Amino acid sequence: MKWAALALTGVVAAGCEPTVPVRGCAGCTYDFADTIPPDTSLVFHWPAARLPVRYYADSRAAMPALVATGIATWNAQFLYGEFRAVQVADSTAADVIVQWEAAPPPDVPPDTSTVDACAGSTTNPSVVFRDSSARVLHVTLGVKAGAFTDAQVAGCLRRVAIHELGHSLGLLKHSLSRFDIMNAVPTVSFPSVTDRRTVELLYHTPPTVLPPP
Amino acid sequence: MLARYWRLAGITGGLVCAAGDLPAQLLVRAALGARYTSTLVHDSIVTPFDVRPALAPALAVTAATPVGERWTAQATLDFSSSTLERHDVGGGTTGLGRVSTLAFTVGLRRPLAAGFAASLGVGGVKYFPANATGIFRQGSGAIAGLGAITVEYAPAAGARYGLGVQARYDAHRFITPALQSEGFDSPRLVHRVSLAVRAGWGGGAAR
Repeated sequence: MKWAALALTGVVAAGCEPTVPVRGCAGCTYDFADTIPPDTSLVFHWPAARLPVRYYADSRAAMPALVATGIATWNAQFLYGEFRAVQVADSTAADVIVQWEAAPPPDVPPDTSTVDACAGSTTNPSVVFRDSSARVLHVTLGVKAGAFTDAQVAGCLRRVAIHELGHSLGLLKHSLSRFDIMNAVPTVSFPSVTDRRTVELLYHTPPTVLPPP
Repeated sequence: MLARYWRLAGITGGLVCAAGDLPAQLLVRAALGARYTSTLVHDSIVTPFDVRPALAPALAVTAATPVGERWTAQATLDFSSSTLERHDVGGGTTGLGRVSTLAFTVGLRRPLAAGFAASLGVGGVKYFPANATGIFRQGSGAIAGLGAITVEYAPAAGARYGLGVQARYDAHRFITPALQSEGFDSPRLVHRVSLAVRAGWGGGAAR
């Protein structure tokens, strides 16, 4: 059996431990925690026991598609099952409700411009779940006043929907980089590596705010 | 994906049933057991954690033919399926979905003393995740080279049906395109150990 022992030794020797990726570098992530001066840090993310997070989308116009894109985009950022969201048809069974702020805009194909033609808002999980008995987060999307084309509005809504869903995941702060989807005025179409590293870090950081069980 | 499992089970079953009329020089063995797989990914985000499959049922079908006085050439198809799990340093475990592996090896087998036999094989292994998510979100990568060693024991009492037990060790290197995108610079050596009971049909099944 000398041949077998030699072969086994060769196989074992061939296996070098891969290097774990560097994640703690400066600028690789941005701040995700809310703060209350002087020293309270509010970290929120959905715990494993609450997954999948259930999103309900206003059924009018492009909202279901916008939310589906947002969910798929954020689901794809995680390597190790830290977060998973699904879309539900019943708003009473939802953890997050996404609605139009006013009348929905026409559902047209988006253009490729980065015009700031729309707006969004998300109720702050660190406030909702810490200071009230609410069990649901609310996200609203709307159109800004101005001379924008329907295609510009559609393109903007696609970016802002992903951005607002990012807030509902627990990314409570804005990135200072215009290359990140979590910049205050998102101009990119997808989360950047920095967005991904940040949300990854968030979901491995012990939360200080939890949703109701 | 489930349909794929059933298809594979059907093919396996067909092979075993067809073995009833095997030529004298062809032997077919089927082995069913359990497999432990070592860590596929070790990572650290705030705290370290490992990703590895749970203990899995394993099914192997081997076709063999003698090539000399004491040697047998054989080809083995090996399938196992279980849940991929993330094990956090604090003891928490998170399921990451089902993953299956299919390995094919060719090799040589030689009987040893007192009912024991040993075989050595080389081939490849492919991962089949149930969902294209997480570490498999960009696919499972190419077929990985695999080396396997099996030790068998067949008591004389079970010779008629080729009954026996076997322990198989194999090793391969694991990485996926998503892990490479994440910054992993090289594959990780993965060890697998399975214990199984087997039955054989055809010439020399008892040995």
